[in-house]
Amino acid sequence: MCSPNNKIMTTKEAISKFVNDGDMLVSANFLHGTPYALVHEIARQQKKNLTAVSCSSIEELDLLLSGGCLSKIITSYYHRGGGKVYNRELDRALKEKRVEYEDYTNFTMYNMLKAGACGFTFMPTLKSVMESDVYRVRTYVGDNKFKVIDCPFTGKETVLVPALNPDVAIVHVQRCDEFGNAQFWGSLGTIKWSVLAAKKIIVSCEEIVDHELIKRSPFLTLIPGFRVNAVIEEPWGAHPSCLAGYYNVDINWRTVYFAYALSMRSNEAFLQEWIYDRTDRKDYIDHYISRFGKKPLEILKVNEYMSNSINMGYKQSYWQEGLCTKLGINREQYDELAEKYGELDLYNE
Amino acid sequence: MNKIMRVELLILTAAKEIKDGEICVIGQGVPMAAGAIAKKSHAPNAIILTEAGMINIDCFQNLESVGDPGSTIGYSYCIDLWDVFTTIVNRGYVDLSMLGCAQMDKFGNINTTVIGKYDMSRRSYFRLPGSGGANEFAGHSNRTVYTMVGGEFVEKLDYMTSPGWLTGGDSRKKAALPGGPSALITKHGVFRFEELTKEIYLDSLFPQTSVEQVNEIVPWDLKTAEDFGMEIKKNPLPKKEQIEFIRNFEPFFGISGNLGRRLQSQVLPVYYEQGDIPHE
Repeated sequence: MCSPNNKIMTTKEAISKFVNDGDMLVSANFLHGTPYALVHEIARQQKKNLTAVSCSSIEELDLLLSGGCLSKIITSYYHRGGGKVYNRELDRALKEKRVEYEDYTNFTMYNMLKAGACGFTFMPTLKSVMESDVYRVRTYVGDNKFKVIDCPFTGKETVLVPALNPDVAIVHVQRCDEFGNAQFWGSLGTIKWSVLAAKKIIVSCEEIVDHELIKRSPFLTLIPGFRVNAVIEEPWGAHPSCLAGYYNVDINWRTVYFAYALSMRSNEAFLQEWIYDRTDRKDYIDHYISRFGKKPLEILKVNEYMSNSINMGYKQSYWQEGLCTKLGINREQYDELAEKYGELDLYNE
Repeated sequence: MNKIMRVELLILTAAKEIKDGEICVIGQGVPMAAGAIAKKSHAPNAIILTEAGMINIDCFQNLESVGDPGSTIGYSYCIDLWDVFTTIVNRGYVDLSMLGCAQMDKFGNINTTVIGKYDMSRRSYFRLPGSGGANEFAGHSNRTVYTMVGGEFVEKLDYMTSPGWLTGGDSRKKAALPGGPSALITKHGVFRFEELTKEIYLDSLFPQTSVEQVNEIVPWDLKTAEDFGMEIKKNPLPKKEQIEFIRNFEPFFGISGNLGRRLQSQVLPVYYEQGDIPHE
């Protein structure tokens, strides 16, 4: 179990402590709040032979693949920026057989993680997958990609996916307390079950907040503190992705990356300048500002659209003006009755 | 404003496929714009949702992705992807899914996974993004409408990502899948699927577009509405305020490709400083 304290650390400490070579790693955010600070640190620390799991990746898997961190990829979507003309590291790696790849759909992928998170060994999934090459074409997962059974109750043909429990989950959220209670809002995507399926959980957040603030809106907590191993405060931790309440997608910056990713040489130049030569997230943002000025970041900040605060409420005391609201007697009368009917005489021994 | 882009007409035409009050799943890009326009015009009560779990969104600018929360000013129901595919899709509540496509065959089956062989054995082959949510939306919605901007028609898909009418006729019904593709909107016009054979045919043409132009990009003998005793309809001209809306909603639709990328690269001028970034 996780200890209640000492979870606050730096990204560098968290990745070095909780991500091991050969681990299965799930990147939990779904096109929203992509944990780039954590992804960059994994590449910077040159982790090797990871199996990357993701329900929909934008550039996070491409960066890890380019950094030589991945030997296997299990995903349903690997974004291709800019269309046909843009060659990607994935195309190069598949042709050179540097990486194994298994295709899923968003739902079958997330369903495997939910099965794992719930402690089940499999989960039924939607039938449409059977009528596709996602079902028929199998690479290294082979026979265990999908199985078909007759439902024991109805006899209906049912497709199943197996449970998946990654070694470690990385996730970026808006706010988190020192215990790891992580709150997230906006599109929820695939965070909850991806994170809960994992054995170890690393949370980066825009702000570490007081536990009292978390208690006042527990419905925003997607990950309970007792499951979390590391908490890191990383402002702009999801840039160039978006984060509800904080910033928009930096689409121009992503286009810059697509252009760099075209050739192996320029891709390496990107990694060198934006990951290897940077010490941490703050250095990355400082570098961005030194290259482009503050304005490109300023225009990403979102307009305010505040949620109403609601009254969570806690009830009034059972004792009102000395009288018990449940029994209709005062404290003296209560003690008299307790004297009369009490069963253990401990204080007069 | 005298000239418009074909893709702008495509978006406006796709919007008409959404009826008022329908529950409508929207994919990234062009479908999103179509959904927003439908809600602003003829379908104010349509419920637009994305697989990331934002239900009943009201977009004022295009979503950068289906998970982008900043393009809508609030929404009424917030769930996660698992809840979308189970409680809404699997239970049959989706009236319409509108999705983009890369390769389509004559029965509306879709490939969004790979161009060329799956093992990528040739230099020219390349990966597309993969299914994302498309497989289950295509397989379990009551109707599927596709938009095709950069895609192609093929006799045989390189990879079957999302089921359409399978091998035509009643093959989809036999596979126990509900719904099926109902329309495809391209830069040329609208295609629909014949009721019995489920084969795609040309239903209507955009202005200044000919059947010959369409035949050039279809590798089989394409049927048209005339083969079924109907006439090939002409799509009406859009209203100027609709074009105005699209240009404000997503400037990239009109100005895209090389021109768009060149302009965009000047906003964050990085890759002119790097000597070896190839330009197309």
